[in-house]
Amino acid sequence: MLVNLLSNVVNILAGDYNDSFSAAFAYLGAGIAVLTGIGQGLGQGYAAGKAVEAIARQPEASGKIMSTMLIGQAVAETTGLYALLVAVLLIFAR
Amino acid sequence: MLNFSFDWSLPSGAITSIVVVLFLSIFFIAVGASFSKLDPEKDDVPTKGAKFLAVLLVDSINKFVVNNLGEDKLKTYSPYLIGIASFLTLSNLASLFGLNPSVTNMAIALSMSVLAFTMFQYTSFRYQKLKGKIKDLMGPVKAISPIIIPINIIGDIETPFAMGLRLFGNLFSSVLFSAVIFGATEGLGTVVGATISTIITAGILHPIFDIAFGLIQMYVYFMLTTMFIKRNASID
Repeated sequence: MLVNLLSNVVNILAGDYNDSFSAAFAYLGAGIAVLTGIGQGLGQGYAAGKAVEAIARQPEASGKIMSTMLIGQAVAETTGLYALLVAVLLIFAR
Repeated sequence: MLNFSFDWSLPSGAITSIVVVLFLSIFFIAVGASFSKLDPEKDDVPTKGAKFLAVLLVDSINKFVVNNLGEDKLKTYSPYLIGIASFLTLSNLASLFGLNPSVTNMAIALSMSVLAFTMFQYTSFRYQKLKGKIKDLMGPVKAISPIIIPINIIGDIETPFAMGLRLFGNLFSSVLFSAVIFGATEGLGTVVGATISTIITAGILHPIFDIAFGLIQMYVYFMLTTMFIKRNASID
């Protein structure tokens, strides 16, 4: 039985099954890929929270803090964008 | 048998960038011509119209370059930064005029990275010279430089690549969101669907995804370009 199961898995991985299987795994992979958003969201939220603290402490520097925060958030966003790219490639360019 | 047929239709991003570049060229040539007619002794600084807009743009970016990069780099980098700022502003706001933002085409986004890469390398070779560039690639510790050099070269390539990809990802995701909303409201019937999609797009999607995200991405690309030019130009 175990051998059967293993051979099934190998067949699926080798693309021996029909197209809907690979489509299903591509969608699953796209879903897993965008889970990267967890880390990205944490990072951006942390940056925004710290910026709010900084502005509360020093309201006159709010412009500079805002621009620094935006740049930091944009850099933190890159990982999420890579994930989005992977997901889009999995869905559309499979 | 070779197939010589060629698809002459342009992708939507390329059309936008051609329109934006044509518009900017005509605008700047016309404004420049009208400026050369002014007499500095008789005429005052223009306070309205397209000329005022041009003065505002050039003056603010010049001030920014002087503050961030220094007076000596004004002539090289100010026109470049004005160019990317105006191009990205118009092309990111293009979906308000019914066009796709040009950086939703990956080729155009990555050509922005090629542009940035060229500019960074030019900067580092001009201000650090070959010797300084090699020293910069080798890192502070000489003994482990064979390991550090490939990492630094990858870093040199990766930074502009990520900048272009960031433009592409942000603008593409906003276009994708809009497309999903339009597709979802299509099934509700003409009257109801059109009303709902108009409310959603005009009230939420366009202000957030087109105006806010587009301008933020323009600002971020602009600031990152300045920062990396500053870093590459520093001799230490």
